[in-house]
Amino acid sequence: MQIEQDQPTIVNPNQKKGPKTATIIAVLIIVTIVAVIGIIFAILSMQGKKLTVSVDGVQVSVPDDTFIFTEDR
Amino acid sequence: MFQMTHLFLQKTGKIYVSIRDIAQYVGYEAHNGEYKIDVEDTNKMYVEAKDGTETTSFFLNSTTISKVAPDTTDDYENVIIPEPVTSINGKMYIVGEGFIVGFNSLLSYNSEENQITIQTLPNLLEQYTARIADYGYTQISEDFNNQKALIYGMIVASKESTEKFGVVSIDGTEILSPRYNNIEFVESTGEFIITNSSSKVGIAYTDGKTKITVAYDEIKVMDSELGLYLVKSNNKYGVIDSSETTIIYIEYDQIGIDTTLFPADNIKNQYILYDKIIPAKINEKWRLFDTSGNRITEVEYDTVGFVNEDDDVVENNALTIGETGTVVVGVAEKYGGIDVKGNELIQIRFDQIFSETNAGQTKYYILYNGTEYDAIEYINAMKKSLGYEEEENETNITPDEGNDEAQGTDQDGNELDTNAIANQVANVVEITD
Repeated sequence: MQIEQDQPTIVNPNQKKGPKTATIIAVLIIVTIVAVIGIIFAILSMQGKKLTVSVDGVQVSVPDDTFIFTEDR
Repeated sequence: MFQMTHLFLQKTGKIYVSIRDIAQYVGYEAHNGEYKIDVEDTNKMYVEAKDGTETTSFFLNSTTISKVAPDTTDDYENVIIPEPVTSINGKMYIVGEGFIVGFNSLLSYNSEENQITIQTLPNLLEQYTARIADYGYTQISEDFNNQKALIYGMIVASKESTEKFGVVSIDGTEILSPRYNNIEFVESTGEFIITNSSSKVGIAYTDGKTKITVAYDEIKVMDSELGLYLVKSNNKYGVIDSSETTIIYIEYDQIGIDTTLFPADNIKNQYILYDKIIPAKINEKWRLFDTSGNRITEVEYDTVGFVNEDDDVVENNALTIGETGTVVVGVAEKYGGIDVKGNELIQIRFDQIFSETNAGQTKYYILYNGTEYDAIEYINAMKKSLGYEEEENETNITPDEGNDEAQGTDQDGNELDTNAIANQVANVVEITD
């Protein structure tokens, strides 16, 4: 009686590494994008909306950097 | 870090406004220096309403701003603001509450919308003129000082049917009932001078309660910080405080000086010189009082101030001598100087005391037998001989201004040779003896 032996699985080390690296790169890209978006949101939330000035009910044109936060000196 | 275009700053949670930059947006023109003083001074600014109603002067690091109607002899009205005027990159900024007072405009900041809303007095006037009939009045007072009450949420208005004045809040709540012949809003104190049907005058708080009895012929605020009022009754003048306590009896023919005779001295308060000396005239003689009503000298003077009757001279009349705290007085056509402590820092022996203005700088002189002496050097030497130096290092007479004698410098900023001046004083005194 012939005993069937399982064929040993031949593993190509290059094939196994390929998908892992791609996943890591993808995750890194996602993380980077999320971080960039987060930073942009953080900057935007710090800056707030653009200052508007109205005099007697009429919005007036003022320079862009007309308003600034400053600390006690 | 900061650029010249910054119109607003937010500092410790408060909005600050650039005085120069905001002016154009609210109907004002900004100038360097102080109103009516022809000297460029980067520590001072004034703004002038384009409609000619008012000028406001701002002083760096000071919480006081001075307001006066342009080209009039009206008294300056000093209003205190919560934070001092500050400078950033050479630009003067004023806190939002100060902007409201200085520019007669409301200002609010919505941080969520990041929006600044300004409403000028003419716009407020238009808004509430349309609404005044709803409050039972015919019209808002045409007096500019009264119209400024709008900035503080109050309206001085009259009824055509009775020709009487009253005060309501901007939401229509009655503050003073419409039964007064006249009402005058005093911005510096936030009070109303009220005149009843018998032409008697008193003062009411902004909550409508009477502060000073309606029993005088006239009332003027002498000093809002000190709470002193000039009152007139039966053609005599006196001084009372905010609790109606008599400071100077109502028995004087005149209190205060006609400062239009002394334009070079730039006197802000004609009633209280150097914030300390009140001149009062009775029977053609002048007495000097402190702000508590005590006489600072027992001497009675023929004149307070030196006025040159000769129109051709270039010298200025003199009432006060710079920042020395010295007031010019005269007896029998000889002149001297009394300081805020009542000391005679210039003996009453000189022929004239006057000033000369050159390139914006005013120098003071005393004249004896045709020879001029530097008045401030003389005073400094006299103060030194009286032992003033140590005291004045601790107590500066005029904290807002540079005090030359405390720094040991003369009118030009040069160091004083006090020994030489002391000798000069001794010589002058000797000459006069």
